[in-house]
Amino acid sequence: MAETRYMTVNMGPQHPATHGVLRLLLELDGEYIVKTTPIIGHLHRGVEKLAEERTYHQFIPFTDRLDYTAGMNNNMAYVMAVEKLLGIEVPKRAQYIRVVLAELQRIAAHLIWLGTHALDIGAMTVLFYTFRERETVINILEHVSGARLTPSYMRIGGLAADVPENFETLVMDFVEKFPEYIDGYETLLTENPIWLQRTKGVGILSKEDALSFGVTGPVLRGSGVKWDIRRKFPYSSYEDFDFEIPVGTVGDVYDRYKVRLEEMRQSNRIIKQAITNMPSGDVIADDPKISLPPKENVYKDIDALIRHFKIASSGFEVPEGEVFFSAENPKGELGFYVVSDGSNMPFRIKIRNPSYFNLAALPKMIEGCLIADVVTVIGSIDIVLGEIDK
Amino acid sequence: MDYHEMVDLLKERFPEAIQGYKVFREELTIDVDYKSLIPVCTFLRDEEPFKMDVLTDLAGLDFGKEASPRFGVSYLLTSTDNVFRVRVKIYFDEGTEIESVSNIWKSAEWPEREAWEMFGINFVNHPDLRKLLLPDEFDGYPLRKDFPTKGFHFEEPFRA
Repeated sequence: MAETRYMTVNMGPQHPATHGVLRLLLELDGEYIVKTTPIIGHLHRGVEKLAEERTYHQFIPFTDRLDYTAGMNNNMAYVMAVEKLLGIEVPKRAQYIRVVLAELQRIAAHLIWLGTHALDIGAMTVLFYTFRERETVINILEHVSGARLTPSYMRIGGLAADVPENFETLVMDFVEKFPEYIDGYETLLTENPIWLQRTKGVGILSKEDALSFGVTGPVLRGSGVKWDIRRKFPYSSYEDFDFEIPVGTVGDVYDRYKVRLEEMRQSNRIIKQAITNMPSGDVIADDPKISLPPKENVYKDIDALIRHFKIASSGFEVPEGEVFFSAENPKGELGFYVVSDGSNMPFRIKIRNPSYFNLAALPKMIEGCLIADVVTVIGSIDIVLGEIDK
Repeated sequence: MDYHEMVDLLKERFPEAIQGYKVFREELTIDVDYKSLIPVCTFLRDEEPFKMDVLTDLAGLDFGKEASPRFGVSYLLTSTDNVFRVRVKIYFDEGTEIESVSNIWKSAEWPEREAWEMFGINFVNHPDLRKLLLPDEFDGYPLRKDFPTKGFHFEEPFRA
């Protein structure tokens, strides 16, 4: 009998379908994958080290640049971790606005995923439609925060400013039309025989493996585990809203596709409820030690000026202790483990980045698949290397 | 079952290993002797009322050159059945061999590689202990407290 010889093929880090600078070493038996070794770190910026010499507020812009398709969600997870450490209550209006923005951002992130995932598999048309709707969402976020991708809009204790006057009409216009658009994407893909052949039964991750690898978000739900941080550990008033958690059955690429599509519909529902029941009031906690004073007071009032200067220059001190807070991001569970020694800068911040744990399960998912399925599976776990490499 | 009863249960089972616990902001942190890490973690994963089936996060900690014990590792465990979290923490000095938990939870594999390259924490029985985020030729442990990020000697190679 002839000796079995495996061929090693390098994929990336410069490859259009790896969604960033991911490098894979694939060991192949003919066209079948025997072993995969992901090599990451090409985009490592040492965010956790940088956090240790910045005040708590100064770290907010770094969180935007983790998963740059979901800036609002990253902001939210970080500021809520610090709020938990401080033990402060955020005004109800700020909580609701955060939910609306986080869900809009989730829709935008899922639209990028759908467009690029379909493009990877060869369906180019979808990209043009999803980017059209994403543009509407990004325009709303830009209108609110002034930036398209890196909003840095949330503050510890609330928001940087209240939303503009026409915000609610803009969002409602989008929300009313959006379910039809999702149906439109589905006509292109859901029953398309080529799509089915490329995605059904590919990249299967069993329920047990999913839990052991610590995958979260749509990948975990695709494998049939009904686990959503918004339901299990509710934060920012998510308990007020009525929404379903979609789950898959097999745990293949198609299930993850179905889960994310349904998540967009549910996000749409949450936004609608939050806008309809939007409370009035302040958008930032009135705690003179933590929140900046209103800008117009800074120019008129010496106390407000001193307060602004104090908080902007040296920050604020937080109680000694450690907390972990995680939020349900488009990619999965984004958590911040913040250790404080009682000073104005964090002693240690550890980011629990969802794409990182999801990518760690990739070798298991593509074992035994064809080499052509690698891009399909990478697309289905929806990774962002900015987040993985930190 | 509340946190105090859970700790009592653990203390009964592992009288030597449980060194203390703390509840802060409704989060339970249990300090465990690093020598008993594997039996305690296996117990936490398999037995009621814990059933911690997911290792959500693993973080290395450095308390500075003067501190003793200098290093720590914090394991954040989640139970998907009972819907709660427990943090297990160990403390040890430089050079101590720490058993890898990647045989209990596969998700520990990458964060342990990261803690190894960033802090120099020595994990044993790890299936594949290589650099993860840093380049192979990188010298030093960047997340240690004495690793500089700016200043006069920044360009000089760092020696632990």
